[in-house]
Amino acid sequence: MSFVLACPVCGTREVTDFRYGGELNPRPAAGSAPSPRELNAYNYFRRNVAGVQREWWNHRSGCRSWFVAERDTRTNEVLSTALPEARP
Amino acid sequence: MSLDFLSPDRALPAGAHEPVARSPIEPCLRRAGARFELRGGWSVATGFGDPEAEARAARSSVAVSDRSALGKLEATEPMEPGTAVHAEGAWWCPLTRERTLVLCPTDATAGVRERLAGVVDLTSGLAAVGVEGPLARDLLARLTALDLRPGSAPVGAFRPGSVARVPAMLLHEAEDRFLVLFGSAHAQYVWEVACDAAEPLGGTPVGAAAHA
Amino acid sequence: MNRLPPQPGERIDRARQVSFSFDGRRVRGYEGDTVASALFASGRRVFSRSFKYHRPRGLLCCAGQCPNCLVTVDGAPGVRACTEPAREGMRVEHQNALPSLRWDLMRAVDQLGGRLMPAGFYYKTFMWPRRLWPLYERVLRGAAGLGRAPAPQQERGRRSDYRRRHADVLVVGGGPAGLSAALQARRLGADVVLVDEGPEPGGHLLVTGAHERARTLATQAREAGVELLAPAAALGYFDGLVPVWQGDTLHQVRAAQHVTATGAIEQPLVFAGNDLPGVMLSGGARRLAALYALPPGGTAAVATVTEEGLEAAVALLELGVRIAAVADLRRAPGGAALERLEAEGVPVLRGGTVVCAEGRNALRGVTLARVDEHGRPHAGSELRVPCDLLIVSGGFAPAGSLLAQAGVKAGYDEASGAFLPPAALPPGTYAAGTVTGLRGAEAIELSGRVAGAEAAHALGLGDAASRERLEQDRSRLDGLRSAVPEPAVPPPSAAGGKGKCFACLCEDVTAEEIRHSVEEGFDSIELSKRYTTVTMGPCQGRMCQLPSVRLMARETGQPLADVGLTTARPPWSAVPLGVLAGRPSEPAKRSPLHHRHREAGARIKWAGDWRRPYDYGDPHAEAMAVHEAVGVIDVSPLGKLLVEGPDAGAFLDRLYPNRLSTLEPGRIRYGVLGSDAGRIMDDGTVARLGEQSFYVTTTSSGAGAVEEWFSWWQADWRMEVRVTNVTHALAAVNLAGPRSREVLAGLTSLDCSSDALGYLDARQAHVAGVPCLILRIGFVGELGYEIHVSSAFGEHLWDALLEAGSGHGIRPFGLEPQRLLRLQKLHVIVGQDTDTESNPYDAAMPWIVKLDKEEDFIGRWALEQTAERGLQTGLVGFRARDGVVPAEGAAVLVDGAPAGRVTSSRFSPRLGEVIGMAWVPAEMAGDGAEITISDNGRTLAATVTTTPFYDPQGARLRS
Repeated sequence: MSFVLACPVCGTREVTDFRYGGELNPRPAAGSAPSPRELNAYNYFRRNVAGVQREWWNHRSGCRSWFVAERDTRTNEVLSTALPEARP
Repeated sequence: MSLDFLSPDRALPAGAHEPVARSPIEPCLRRAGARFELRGGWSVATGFGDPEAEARAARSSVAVSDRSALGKLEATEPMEPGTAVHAEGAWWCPLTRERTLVLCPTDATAGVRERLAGVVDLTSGLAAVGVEGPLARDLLARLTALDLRPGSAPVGAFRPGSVARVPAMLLHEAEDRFLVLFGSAHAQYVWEVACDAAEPLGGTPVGAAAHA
Repeated sequence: MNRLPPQPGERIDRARQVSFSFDGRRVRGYEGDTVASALFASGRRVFSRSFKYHRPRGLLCCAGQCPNCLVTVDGAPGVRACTEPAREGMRVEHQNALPSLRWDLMRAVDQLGGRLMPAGFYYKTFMWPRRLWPLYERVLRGAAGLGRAPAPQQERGRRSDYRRRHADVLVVGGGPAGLSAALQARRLGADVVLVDEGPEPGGHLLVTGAHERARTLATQAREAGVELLAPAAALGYFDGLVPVWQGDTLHQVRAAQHVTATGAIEQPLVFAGNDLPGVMLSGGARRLAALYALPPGGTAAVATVTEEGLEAAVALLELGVRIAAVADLRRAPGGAALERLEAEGVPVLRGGTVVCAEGRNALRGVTLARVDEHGRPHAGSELRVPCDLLIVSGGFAPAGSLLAQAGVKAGYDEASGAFLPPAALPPGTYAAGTVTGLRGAEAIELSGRVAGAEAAHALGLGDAASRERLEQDRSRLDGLRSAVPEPAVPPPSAAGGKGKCFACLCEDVTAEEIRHSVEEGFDSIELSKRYTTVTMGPCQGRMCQLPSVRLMARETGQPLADVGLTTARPPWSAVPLGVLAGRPSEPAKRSPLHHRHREAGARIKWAGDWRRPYDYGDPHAEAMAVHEAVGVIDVSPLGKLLVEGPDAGAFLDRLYPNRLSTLEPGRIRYGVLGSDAGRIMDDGTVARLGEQSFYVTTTSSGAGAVEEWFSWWQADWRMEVRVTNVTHALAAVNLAGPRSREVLAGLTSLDCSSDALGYLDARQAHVAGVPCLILRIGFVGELGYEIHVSSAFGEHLWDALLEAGSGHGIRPFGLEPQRLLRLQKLHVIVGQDTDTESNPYDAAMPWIVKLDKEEDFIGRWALEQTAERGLQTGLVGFRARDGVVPAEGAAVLVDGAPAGRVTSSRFSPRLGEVIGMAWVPAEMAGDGAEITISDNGRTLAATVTTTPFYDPQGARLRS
């Protein structure tokens, strides 16, 4: 595995420059009261799609920004990267 | 409450104690036979005993120098990432769109710090190694995956990314002259790796006197 | 020396001799020779012994493709003699033969002939009787592998350098196609790197009389500014990154466009005795003659399915080699070469091939015959030919491995009998030359120019004129493509001969073994590969992939297209592990005091990625100094984060289960960081420096993770807060012990009395003239001050403290005494006493969780549920009664079954007893409970305690 990712701040770097943060996994709303089942789903279950996945990455060796990438988990092709504030 | 404890230049001579700020690379420099001089409160390596050889390395191969005494201030200062700007005697290096790393001469640090907003003094947090000479890129190619071809990283290019497998930042200061910044706890490791890679290229460590 | 008169394109410089030793004997050659050519000139014909059967093997490809000439050079095993330049004074030795290449005792394995080493023999033999396995293992270890790695390993000296090379275009393969591609891309303005395996670029041009053209192209490419890496091997394709091994450099080439011009590899034929020294590929024979002026034999027979085989015969004929007979499997060959041979009176067997070769250690003769499509000879067509050389040309297999790794799926081409890449390749990938199945000099060069132009245009280079030219070249190439004659497709193996037919020379796999593997049910190529190990040797399938696929097709009755190729995996070329290892340096973090610890005789150990003093020789005495006088420990590796901004307090309230926004400036609180699953991730202290500024410490190994954790939530919440990691910026020492106050007070004007600087107070002050942050905390259980200072002054502060403390009995202490001291206080070390399952409740810190906080915080829901559910296990302290220190990790037994484990254990000299911490079932997690610890067969009795062993009221801490 040696694909490259484009950090939205620093530009293109080797994947080894980054830390993988896992697929986007929205937290239940603050103040809500998730059931044990909902909480377990949030804490322990991932969709793990074979296809395009939206996921967190951190440019650990560079600017240290977290950003969101769309990556095809089958080919490692990265379709887009964006800072979270630029998320649609 | 201020953050004076982060700023080496806030030391005060107190009785018997004459505080000397030391580069994190100093133990390596001592082992290599460096001579030191006190400059702006810092113990600075001025050379390794052969000024001619050191000048020759900078001219014809590659010279590696410890420049950790540089003032390094992180501040809230919006800039476009990718390119650093030299102004007011300092390099303004964009870390993110909001945060900028200002590199300035040791004795100018206090002045710059006072003018900026949201400053964190990283002078002692970052070690700095200068890489200079016609083989500077060749040396760096042995340490980093960053694309430093002239077309990709012209003078002024500022590149956060890993160097020698540790998080670092790389500034293209001038033709054939680069500055590598990285966490000071990695200083001895990076220095050794850089000198080791420089050796087969005919490069050598040099003192602060050898470069402008 | 036995050399031909000077050849027009020869690589040797007859004016300059080199000499080296082979198995201790002196060998002379010329500058420009390879080890193999010099050895061949000296009369050597056997170059190695084969992997399993120890059969003698001679030169076959002379191009670094096959395993036949692997030797040990200056102690490095597995070097290809046919590409390794001969150097003065080098020490060359044979491999895999005992005692010598000529007499190899292990040859018995071959001559026993029976079923000693069938396919998958290591799964079947040496299994019984079991008690003899240790003996078998020793014998097998001796017999396995090729060559010997130097032992013991030398000091980890200089190995290889990694060199990063970014490029616009990478061209792999320096034949006419690759050179043309590189040149064209460069001329259009691209930054181009070209990699070639051979000692000189030019590919087949060098040996087919077109060396002038090869050298012109190479010179033009160099002069145009192409960076030429040769001899160098492209090892694989990793998502656009191609590692290239050249000498002691591993180039890591990252290119935008990739042109593959890796050529096609001439294939051997499969027949009885096809591995005898004297059986040589046509390219190998020509290489010996053209580049090194060596006649490959005296009398030759030729077995070919290609025009190239006939051309080789003509070339050798002209050099004075007697061509005794030719078998050309093509039924109606024609052309100049054939005419020439027949004019010389050479008998040519059309539709024929070689059926078997004879000889023991060298070829003595062959039988040629006309055969049917199964390789069975037509009765009466056999022709026995005495000869010492058999020129074989079994067709060409495109070297498509790198393309395959780049995601290109090759398809079977009936006409050429080879697997070819499709016309449409993925973006950024181009193929040129014979790797695409193309033949003919003009077409090959033109295809390179087209690929080079396409790659350059894809980069946005070029102009209307270059695009028009490209169109013209493309249509011209299409015209040339159709004019190319196809070789014949050989049968999977010839029948009718006696002896072993090798499909795979590296691993000594015979055609029969592949048949057996199918009979045993390994009927897919991937299974058969793993079972027989065919294609898994040093040649990486270059010589054996196509033959084994053909055999598999025959044995299973499947079409070749369905059998397919095995997955192409890196490395494409065999490479020493040391080259991949790079430089032996470990990214170590060192405190600014590191050299002081060394000077003080500290035992330095890895602690995470830090190098830290474990102790200074006497951990118990160091701990006692902290109890009785004063000690100082370097805690610079502690993670240190500044959290600043109007929302700083609210931000921390969301991250920690306790309240931090209510902390007064100048005060400190302990904090445990948890995940949303309620699990403990890290711990440390939080000091409030000002209204909007907090100073957070983390564990030494957790600094990076905590910074990332904070900034990750900040990326989501986007509060008005800024997190800065200042770990490296600050040295920190913990000055601890009853006399620490006196030591500190002597160095600062700050009022250090307990009233002015109480327990859990934070103050900034100059100490010994340098600005410090002083945190009064007590991890080790005595009065103590954690002093944080700019790392540039770490040494200054350390020296000042030791000097000021010298009259108070100060001693530096290491990690080991610190671990003992904190254990006496039941202070948890996250990651030592807790694991990824631990939560604050079962780790005996329920007081840290404030479920009555109004705001939401990370882990709240999980902790609420945990609090409701109750605990199953608990972390407790214990006193062991027998004076034995149980190992950390020892099991806690309940009714003889493991129900918990010891996480920390020490003998405390201060308390005079063995103490520890352990996870136990909840019902035993109360004071006075008796537990049983099983440690390495011993059973120890211990008593649970939930209060600290030392100073349980914390009087000393607060003094």
